[in-house]
Amino acid sequence: MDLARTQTLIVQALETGDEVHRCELLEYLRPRLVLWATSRLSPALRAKLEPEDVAQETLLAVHKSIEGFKGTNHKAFLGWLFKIAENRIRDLADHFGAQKRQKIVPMSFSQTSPSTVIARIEEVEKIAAALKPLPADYAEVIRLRRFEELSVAEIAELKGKSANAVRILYCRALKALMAALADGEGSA
Amino acid sequence: MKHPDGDPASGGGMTKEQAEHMLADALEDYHRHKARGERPDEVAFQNRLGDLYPEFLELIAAETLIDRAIEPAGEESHLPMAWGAYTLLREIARGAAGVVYEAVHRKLGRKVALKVLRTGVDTDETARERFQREAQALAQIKHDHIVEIYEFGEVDKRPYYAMSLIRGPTLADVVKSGNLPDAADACRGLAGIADAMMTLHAAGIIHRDIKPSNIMIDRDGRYMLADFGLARSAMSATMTRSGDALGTPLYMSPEQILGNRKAIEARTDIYGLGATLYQVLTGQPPFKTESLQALMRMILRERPTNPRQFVPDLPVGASRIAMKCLEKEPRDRYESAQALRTDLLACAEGTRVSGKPLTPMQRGLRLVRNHPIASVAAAVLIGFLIALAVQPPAPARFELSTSVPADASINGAEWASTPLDLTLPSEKHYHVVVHPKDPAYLNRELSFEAIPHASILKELLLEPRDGARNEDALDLLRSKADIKAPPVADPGTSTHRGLREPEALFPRGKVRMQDLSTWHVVGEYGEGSVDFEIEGEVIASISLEEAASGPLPQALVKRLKPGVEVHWGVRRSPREAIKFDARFTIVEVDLDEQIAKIDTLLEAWKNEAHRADAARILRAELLLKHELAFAAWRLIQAPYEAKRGPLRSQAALAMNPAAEREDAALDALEELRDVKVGTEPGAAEAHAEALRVAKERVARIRAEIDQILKPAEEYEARPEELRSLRVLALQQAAIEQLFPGTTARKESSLWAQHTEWRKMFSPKEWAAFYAR
Repeated sequence: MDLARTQTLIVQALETGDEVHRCELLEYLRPRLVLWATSRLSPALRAKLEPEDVAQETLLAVHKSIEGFKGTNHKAFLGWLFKIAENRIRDLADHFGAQKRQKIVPMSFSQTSPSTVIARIEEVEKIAAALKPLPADYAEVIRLRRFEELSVAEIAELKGKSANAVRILYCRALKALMAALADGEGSA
Repeated sequence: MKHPDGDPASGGGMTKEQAEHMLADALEDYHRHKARGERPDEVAFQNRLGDLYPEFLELIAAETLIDRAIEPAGEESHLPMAWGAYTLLREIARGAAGVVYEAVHRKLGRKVALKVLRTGVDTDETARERFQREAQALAQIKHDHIVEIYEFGEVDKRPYYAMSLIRGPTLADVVKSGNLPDAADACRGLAGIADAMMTLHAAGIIHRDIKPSNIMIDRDGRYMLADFGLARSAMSATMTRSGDALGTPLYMSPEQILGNRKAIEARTDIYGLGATLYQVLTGQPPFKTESLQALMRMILRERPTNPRQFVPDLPVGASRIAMKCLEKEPRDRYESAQALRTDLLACAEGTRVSGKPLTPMQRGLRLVRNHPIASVAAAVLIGFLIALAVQPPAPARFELSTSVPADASINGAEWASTPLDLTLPSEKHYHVVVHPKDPAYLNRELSFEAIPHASILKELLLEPRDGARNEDALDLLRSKADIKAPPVADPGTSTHRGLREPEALFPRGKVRMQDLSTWHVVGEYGEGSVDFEIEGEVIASISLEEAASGPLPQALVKRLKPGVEVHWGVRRSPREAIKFDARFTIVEVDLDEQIAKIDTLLEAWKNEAHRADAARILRAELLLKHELAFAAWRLIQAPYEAKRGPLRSQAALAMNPAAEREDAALDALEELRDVKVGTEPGAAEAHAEALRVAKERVARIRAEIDQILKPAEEYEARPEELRSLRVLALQQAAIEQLFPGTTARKESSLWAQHTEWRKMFSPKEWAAFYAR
């Protein structure tokens, strides 16, 4: 994987335990969580929950409990992060199930300059829009491979498929994503 | 090998499954390479995948797009990167306005050089339009010596064009290597460029940026002209920023240095080619010097050293061609690219070249008589005509002075320091003035006529380019209006922004009738009345409970006339004396003429903000000179008073939904408080918890609002900083006049505090105080 900066930030935040580093990391993970949630939420859930809310709630939870996370490995951290995210989705779905939806106010952890934030939002929105129409297994394999940074072997084990099948599924998913992106460009 | 787009399987005798396997394996390998920190070898992948390669690039493009969204970083760190239909592979070059990448068209598999307009530099609408217009024009030109443009377009609002990828060095690389081609080869090669210029010029395109780094040599040794379209914006960027980062104008023609766009024509490119030839022949640019300013001056006024001084055995013809191209006046250069090409070819063949630079004799004549106006249209001159007075019969006399001593040249003649006093023939002339401190400040010229029997006195007010900081320009104005500026605090120690109005009564001191309209009391003086007295007689009395300011009472206004002194202040009870008192005296001073003079002088300033600033500063200084401190204070303070306070911050907030949310959150909190708590078990706790959540929510939104307000406030402070020193000096001078001596200062408790605090705190702390 080529997400070296994320890795550095995770290790840095975990090793130093410094609040500034942690906040920077959390803010950094937000777009990843938004996209993760976009690919994770089923269309039915998506009607109730916003990926941004899932990301926000997850970040708050991580912020609260990061002290308790032991370990400096970035993969372990990602695993823990997405477990929390899964839990948050469950809670939120229960919570918002019946009642009227209310948008959660995103709170910023770190102060990124407005221009970077905007640039990120645009890119994230484009990808998110392209993820939504993908078939569930395509969205899932992209989520596992890119957002959760699992290896092909890990995904194969998790899904009970052969490594080859996962690889091919991933390629098809990327192709479909590219096509969806092109569609988005065309209609925009 | 033909296959429909996106379905390679039908082509290479492979099933769809086989193709997918190949791609999947290749992608896996690609990641393995990357994980090891290696740069994947694209040629190997290309060979391995064949027709599938474009599809492979699509996959990588998709991945980089995702990665870029979740891990935004510099573009370079995500190369290869998807860019529309292309994948950017690596950066080839980075210039003032654009970046050139080696890229590949994913569908066609074609390797190209892709030039992308850089963001930040000149990416306004006009720059984009210009870029596209030129790309469009160029896309229609096919020439053996012009890099072919395949396609152009926009991705994410950033225009780009794709051109053929030439694998070879630029002429700049060749020069750098020290391995110079011989004169004949250089001439033959550049004749190709001259040929390309003919085609461009015939199509109405001026390249504007012909230089060694824009000429590439392909594998066949052919010289190819590259890098179009950005030339003009590249130039303006260089002109406005003197930093080296954007490149130095080593190959710019005098007319480009002068910023005279109208004068830029085909012969500007001829100059560029000459400069390039010069460098290729001698290994160095025509002009070489340390500073940008000196370089610009040399380009305008000096002849390059004869190339034969560097390379003694250089053919005379080659040297002549270069020197003729490098003439200052466009009309003295080759008249067309064709003429230049003919001479270059002649030189390459060893036959006689026809073009000759000017002889010393011709050059000498130029200094005396010159009519260059036809080609050099008048640019904006920040100058003005002070007097045009009839003189006894004589050729026209011309005097030129500037706000600061500057270098000036009349009709391109030798440079001299201003002031100048010359006798000129009665015809049209032009002059150029260079600001000694600001190299970019030299595009000042004018077509002016020396009228027989008349004398022209010209004064150039070099307009400040950085707001109110240019004291030189202000000083000239001051000398005209006969005013003096209060001393400005040392910028190293003074960072505070401005003084608040001291706690006291206004008006006070010397005032003109026109300055009087209202009275006001700054500070808390408790109860009582505000009484106005003339010669001990109470003329008017207003209760302080009603107002702390207001129009001057009519009864008082009727009694006002020059010479009258009004004593006024707060009276606690009828028997008591006036406290916190102030006096103002009506004086009669007519400043209209001087103010009109300042305004006339300032008319020449094109920048309205600078003009308004200077006008206010000079008026305030003029008022202070006449001890009209109250009027001066009002004048200098007015715009700052209006801006002070959270006005703009509030505007920033109003535009943000957070404000609305605060209201909603507060409402929700109030509602919760009003709720009647039931008696069932746990109800009280539940309510308390709900209250806590609601409070937290309010606090969170408020914190967010603070975040919004903070940058807005900082932003607000910025324009003030620019003028702070001058304004502060004026404010201090005004306050010192308003509160002369210590007694007056004691009167204002706040002012007294200021004075005390100023002794106690460092400038930084002091600044922090005012920042509040």
